Amino acid sequence: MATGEQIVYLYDGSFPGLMCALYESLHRNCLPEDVCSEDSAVLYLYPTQRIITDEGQARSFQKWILEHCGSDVLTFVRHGFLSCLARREIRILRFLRLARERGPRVLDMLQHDDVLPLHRAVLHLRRESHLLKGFVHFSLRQGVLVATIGPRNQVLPLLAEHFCTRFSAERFLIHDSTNNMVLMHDPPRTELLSVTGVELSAKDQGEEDIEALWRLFYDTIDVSGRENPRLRMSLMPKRYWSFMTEFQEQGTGPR
Amino acid sequence: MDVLSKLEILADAAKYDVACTSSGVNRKASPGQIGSAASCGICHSFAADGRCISLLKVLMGNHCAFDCRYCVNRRTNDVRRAAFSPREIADLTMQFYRRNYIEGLFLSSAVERNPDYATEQMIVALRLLRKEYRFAGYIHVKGIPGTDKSLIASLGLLADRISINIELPSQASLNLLAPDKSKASILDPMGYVTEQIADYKSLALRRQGFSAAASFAPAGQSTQMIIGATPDSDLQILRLTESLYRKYRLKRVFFSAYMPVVSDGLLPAIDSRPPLLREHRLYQADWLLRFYGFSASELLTESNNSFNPYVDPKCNWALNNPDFFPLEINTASREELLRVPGIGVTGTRRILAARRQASLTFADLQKLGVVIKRAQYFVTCNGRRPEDLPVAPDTVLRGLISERLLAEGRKGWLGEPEPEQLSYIREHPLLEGGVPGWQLVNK
Ligand code: SF4
Repeated sequence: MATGEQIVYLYDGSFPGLMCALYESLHRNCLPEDVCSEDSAVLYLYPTQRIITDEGQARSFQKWILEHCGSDVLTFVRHGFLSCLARREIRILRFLRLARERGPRVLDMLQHDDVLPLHRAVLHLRRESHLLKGFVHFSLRQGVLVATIGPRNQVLPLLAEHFCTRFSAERFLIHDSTNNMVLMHDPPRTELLSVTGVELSAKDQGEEDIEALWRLFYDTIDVSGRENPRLRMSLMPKRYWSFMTEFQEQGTGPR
Repeated sequence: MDVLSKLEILADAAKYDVACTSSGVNRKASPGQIGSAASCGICHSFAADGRCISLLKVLMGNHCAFDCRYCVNRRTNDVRRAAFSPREIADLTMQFYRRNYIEGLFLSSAVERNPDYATEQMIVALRLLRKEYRFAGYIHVKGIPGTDKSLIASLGLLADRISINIELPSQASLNLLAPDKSKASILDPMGYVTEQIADYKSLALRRQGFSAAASFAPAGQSTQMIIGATPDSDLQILRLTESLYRKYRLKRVFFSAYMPVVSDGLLPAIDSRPPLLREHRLYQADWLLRFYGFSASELLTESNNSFNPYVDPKCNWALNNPDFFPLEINTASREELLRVPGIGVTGTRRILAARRQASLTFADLQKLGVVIKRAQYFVTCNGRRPEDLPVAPDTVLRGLISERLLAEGRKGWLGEPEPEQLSYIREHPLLEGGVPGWQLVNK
């Protein structure tokens, strides 16, 4: 059993940084009070230890996870990191300690407190990214397909493959305004970037007409006599609406 | 007429076909193509009625030579008529697809002139999309009853899914309400599609590794039935559904609650409400057939030929089969677990995986996503029932029936103070611990 230590690990907020923090903990068999990103504005009541990010060590730790716990566990850990779960770092650490003992089967242990919250968070991320595969609606700006989204989780890494396959020859850009990230596809290049903001150029000519056609289709397809606003809301929560063409009045929304 | 006006008329005319799924096929674009298909299906929006919008669902045209009495587009109905050109359909699809509004196209048509002519128009549109625009997204196309086989063959090579709608669930209803259609004009092309799908599949298997074989409607075949326009019972509809899955290997059977759109002495009054709850129960039963190992004859019988409006078909089955329960969570088979109200396909999978790690308690079940307030009457964990199993009739009812339905029932739904179906549940011995097997378990 690891000794619980009254110490907080500080890492640089990156995934490799987290890998190094987790390695440090498992390697020294010490369970910190918490693992936090340096820029999180938390008041620490415990002494802190700064973790140095070492890409090589991060890679070999991931290789260790892969070999000991299987690829599903590694993917689960990556997705846990991209989720919006509070204190996800320490939860990932606790999960990995259990995974070290139980191997790949750990993913079946939903009844365990070190698994369930993380499992729910990962499911939330995966569901949200599945929804957004559909809800991302582009508008053409200077020949580039541009969309803005406001997800809860960091979905762009999960969306990249889908959109790059579907629109392989198109230039497109998806801006995640929650996490200040941009997915850019300018064939054959694809990049995932951190940004401070995105300035949109105006919509191309004819774009409003196509949007009007879509809005007309959306309004027409509804069968009156079957309205079920509660069902619609549960399948497509309101927070996504403001980014979707069918809910923007002509000439409103991001121009 | 401009495209906007055409879209308004032809999307409106198409919306009573409820199928809008884009699932069943995985495909990546090859170089020079645009688009892909995801087998799990993707919704791009949801309409105000809560239905998934996945495909651009339109008619090629709504001039119809037929006179089906339940349909807005019938020859003798006075509606605005329009027709898209194949090029207009293809352009609209591409414009929507590029902006990620849709997964693809669901193209259908009224019987413009005759079934073959209308189908030829659709083929031209689909060829434009596939060959000229190199479109690799999803296409669902409607087969019109009475169409020549050679044309159905062309459709199948261009589309991912074909559906030929049965619409009316019995020969008698068909004769009465769709005089231009016959059972044979629907089932013959349907059978042909079934054969072609099977042939192309076995061909692809034999050729594996040599060349990419052409595929015929790789996402399979589906159909739709209208519910509530005719006196056909739930049992008749469900039996027909079951045989369509078995005999024609259909991927999906869709149900559409009849929405009165025309006044006709043979049909429900124009102001009657669509039987949405009945449609919902049929969909639940359809899932039980496809994923839960139930058969139609287990769910309904000649003497009991319609679903209980208050409880779902699975719960209804459980109440009718008390001898099957209780089941022990830690030892029951997959097939048995699937029959427990409150446990779904995912719940079953999780239970099987988790119980290999440790034996499960009721608290664990909750974490695995089981609906305890429903399942608790039907299972034990390590030989025990939950310690605080509610047996007060009201609590029991609230566990098995949604609040909304219960409230409606109490209000005198269907015009009775306490409908019989409701008291049947309330007084059920299984829920009072009155079944012999149950009392033993508790000791
Ligand atoms: S053939 Fe189709 S479009 Fe024509 S009246 Fe019958 S159901 Fe309507």
